[in-house]
Amino acid sequence: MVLDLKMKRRSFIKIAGVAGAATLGFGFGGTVIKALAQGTESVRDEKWVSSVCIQCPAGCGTKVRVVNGKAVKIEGNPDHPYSNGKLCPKGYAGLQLLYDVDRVKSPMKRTNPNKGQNEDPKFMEVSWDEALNDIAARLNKIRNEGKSHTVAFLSGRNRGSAGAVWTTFTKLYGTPNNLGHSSICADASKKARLVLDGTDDYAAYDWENCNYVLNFGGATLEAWRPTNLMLQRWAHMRRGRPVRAKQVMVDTRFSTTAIKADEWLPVKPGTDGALALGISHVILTEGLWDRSFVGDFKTPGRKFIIGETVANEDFEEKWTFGLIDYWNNVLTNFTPAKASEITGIPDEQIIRIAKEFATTKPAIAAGERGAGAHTNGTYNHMVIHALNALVGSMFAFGGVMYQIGAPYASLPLKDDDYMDDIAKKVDKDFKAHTLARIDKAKSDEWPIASNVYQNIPDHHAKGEPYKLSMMFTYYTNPLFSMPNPQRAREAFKDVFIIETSSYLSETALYADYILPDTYYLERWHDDKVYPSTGYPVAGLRVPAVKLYDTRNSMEVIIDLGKRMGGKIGEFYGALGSFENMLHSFAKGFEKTPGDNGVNSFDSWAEKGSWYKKPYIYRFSNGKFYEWDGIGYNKEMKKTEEEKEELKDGKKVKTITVKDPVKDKLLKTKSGKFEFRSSKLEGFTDKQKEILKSELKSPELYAYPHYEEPHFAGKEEGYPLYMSSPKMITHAEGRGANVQWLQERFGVVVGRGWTSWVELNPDKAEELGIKNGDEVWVESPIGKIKVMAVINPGNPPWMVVFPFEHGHWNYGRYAKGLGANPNEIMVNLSAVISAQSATNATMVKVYKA
Amino acid sequence: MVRYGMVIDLDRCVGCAACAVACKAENSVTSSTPSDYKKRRLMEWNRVITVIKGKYPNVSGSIMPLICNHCENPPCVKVCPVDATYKTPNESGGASIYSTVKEGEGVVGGLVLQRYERCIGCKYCMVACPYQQRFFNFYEQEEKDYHNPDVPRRISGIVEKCTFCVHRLKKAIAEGKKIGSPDGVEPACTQACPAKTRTFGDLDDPDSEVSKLLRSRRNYQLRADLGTNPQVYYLD
Repeated sequence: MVLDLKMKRRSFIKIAGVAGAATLGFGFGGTVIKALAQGTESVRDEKWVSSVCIQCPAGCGTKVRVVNGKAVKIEGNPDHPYSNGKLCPKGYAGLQLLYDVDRVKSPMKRTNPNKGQNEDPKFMEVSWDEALNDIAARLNKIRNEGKSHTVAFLSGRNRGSAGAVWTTFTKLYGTPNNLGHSSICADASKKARLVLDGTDDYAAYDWENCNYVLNFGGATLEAWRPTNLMLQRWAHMRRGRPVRAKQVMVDTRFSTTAIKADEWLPVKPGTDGALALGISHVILTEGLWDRSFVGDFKTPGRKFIIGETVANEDFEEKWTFGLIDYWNNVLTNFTPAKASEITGIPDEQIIRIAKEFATTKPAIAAGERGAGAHTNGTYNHMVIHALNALVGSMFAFGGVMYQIGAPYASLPLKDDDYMDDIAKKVDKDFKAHTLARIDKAKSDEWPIASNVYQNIPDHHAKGEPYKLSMMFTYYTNPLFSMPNPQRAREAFKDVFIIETSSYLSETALYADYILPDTYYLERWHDDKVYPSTGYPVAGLRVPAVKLYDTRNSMEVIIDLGKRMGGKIGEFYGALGSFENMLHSFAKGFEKTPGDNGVNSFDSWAEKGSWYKKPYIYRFSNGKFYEWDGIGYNKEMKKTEEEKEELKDGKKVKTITVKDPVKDKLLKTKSGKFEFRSSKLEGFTDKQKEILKSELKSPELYAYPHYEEPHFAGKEEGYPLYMSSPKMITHAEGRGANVQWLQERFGVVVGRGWTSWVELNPDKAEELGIKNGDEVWVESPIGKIKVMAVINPGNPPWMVVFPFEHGHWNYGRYAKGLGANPNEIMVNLSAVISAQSATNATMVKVYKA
Repeated sequence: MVRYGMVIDLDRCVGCAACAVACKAENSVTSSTPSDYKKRRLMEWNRVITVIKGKYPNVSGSIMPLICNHCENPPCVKVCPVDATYKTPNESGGASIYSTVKEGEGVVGGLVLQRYERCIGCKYCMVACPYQQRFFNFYEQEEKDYHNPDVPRRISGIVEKCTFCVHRLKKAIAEGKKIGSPDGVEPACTQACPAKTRTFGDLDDPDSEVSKLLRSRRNYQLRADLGTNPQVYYLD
């Protein structure tokens, strides 16, 4: 018997003797005891190591059980405010990624110069030295030819200080192309907040104390982040406190969140903004706005009346700006009836929800890609976010906050001091707009977009603004994850690609070098959490085990810098290593110890987290306060300081105005929450012209408003809307090789190990499609074969096609399984934010 | 008398299946491949199912985690021809009512357990279980680096199922630790649940968290009409 083979008689006796038969107790047949003894080594070296999960950007602290040098269990770190001892399914499944049999085990060099989906790269193992020396030489050559800007660094999951590592390297090397993939993630909501309240970030929410959640397309129980904490908070709002909160889910599909919500509003795709406008209209006409935040009419008791404009001087705003313009230009005629016509939600329901939302305080209006991944996504999120201002939830108890960063100490050296002439010139040219990024973010076309990842292949193919020569990819897989990735597969054939994935991703098949990254359980790496708690949290990954000849990509970049010599080499020589950086950062905790006593690198590593409660800002009764150590007692008042100085022998009076609310919380031109965005109005004429040319209501460009969405394929008569959601079991495009997640991939439809399209039962019958049939899903750019699954809850106009499968690489478990909706997705972007409009493709479905 | 049971609060459940994955990791339950899955050879001691009623626009759904119910009157035990499946006694030193063999000392609580070395793989228990919570091992279990050294490796041709993480309970007894939610040792699924959906403890102890929960709200057992008297309860 197999069980007997490895059994050591001595260890069995020892266990039996020490522990005693009673405690073994599983059964007294010899085999089982042997089996147990075999598993229970005589001398067991067991420890729990702190780490932080990396399977989504949440940053949940974990504890890894390591027995005899093998990681055998991952659990949530009880001393991490995001985990609280818990994890989502992805977190528990990390072991199968660590021990995946198809990991890249050493650096690889491509020997076949031809690139393509069906080309065998003919990888050859190389040493780190050989690979890094060659890459350093190539980088130097490109640089000396004056083409450093043609080297691009694409990075995805930049946890903790990873982003800083890329920023420094690109700065010193001299390329503006430090590119992220946030535009295929969720930039729409971020940019909506930026233009209204001045913070370019995801919001944090006080879910624990919130009583009413109006959620527009943010799948709280599946994909919205930080998922683990969202799940915990949801249950807490349900049963963890005396008052149960109401969850209203606005979503186009019958998802887990829709199932578990108190009320599901199945809006027509892309119309979330119209629903939020209808709700805003009711709040104003019913007189339900928060007067302590928004202000009031000078005539007490006056309300907004449908179709009637209001004179600016009749209303006195407090912490908002532009409400009357918003009303007069956008809201006055946007009645619930109009919202109903657009969204498909009955107007009486809109009115009821609006009243509930405005009167069941604290209330939060939130959402994510369901509303954002449309051509009008940024405007949708502007209307949604404006609801928080209308009901006074900004920085209020149970309301919306912004995450505060951890107090890292700064590095002992500044990268700016190490910029040589090439680096300085590139920086200057980029700032002067004479040199663009390959994705054209920050250009007049996209003045405030962070990234326009999905357009890189087109720009490179056209050589506009130029062609890329070399590309690094870190935790991003452009050949698979962007809409219509065929473009990247064609365009990137002539780019020298250096890929860092631990797995043979699609991009790795195009790589000239693979420099395999360590997995997160094998490295030192900090993690600043995804916004949620408001108060600062910083986690630390401590290596639990180490397999294979892989290296932390952060260390690799630093090593590469050293090998490049010159000023770059000087900087990285002085910096030393990524681990050094982490030690430097942790010095900040000496001054500000965490609530769990963490005050050094070592204690951080031991506990796995540093955090400091509470969130220090609070809006209450019309005023902003700061935490003074005891309570929210310190009012954030505007102060004016008058100084008399002698200048050129004359006395000069200077008045310094300090406005802590404007500096710290409402970082807009007006220092208020702006219903009329000064950020957008501050665009240059050219920028405005370009933006307006994209809009159907150009006159409303500076306001939250309903911009009619554009759908690819609508004009050509494709009848169904395709949505490509993420499941809870989906580690953001990186979970297709995990057996534990794949087995139960579709919790709602009960399907594993494949992808599918969900159809409404009546629609399926009309199309002659039965549950489990193979169907073609066709869009204007192609068709793809996949299994049809009937989801009785979905509206008849929806085709729900989850994103995860369709890999043509990525290891034995992922390869060749299901289909990738991106393959038939037309590349469209939302205005302003450049959010990839992944919900804006229409399709037809027919039996294969 | 000790009777270990679990209370599952469906109002808390968020349908994430963290319990299912944590169970697989903790108990080293064999993972499937796409071809196993097609052959319905999926081993899920702990699974999460969704039931949708009606259709758009009049539709509702419920999501339900399922495990072995550790029945007081377990049909699986009655049909086992070789005494492989048995129920541990309710008190220390007591004999299990359905097992003639005096085994399972040290672990009380009326758990339904499987003695792998006795199992002949006849699958009678799988047929008898009204909850479909027993799983047949089609393969010799491959050794994986991440397997939990505390649980035995399984051979092909035997049936396995949820043990309420008996290895954890044994360890707790050996180390003198408290068993049961909220602050004692729990099965992996219970500990793993981000929504704190599950509560584990002694149903016979009126002060246990499970007993308190059952007194506090309406609850039910799955197919109580069958007389199996599950030790797993659901709250709506």
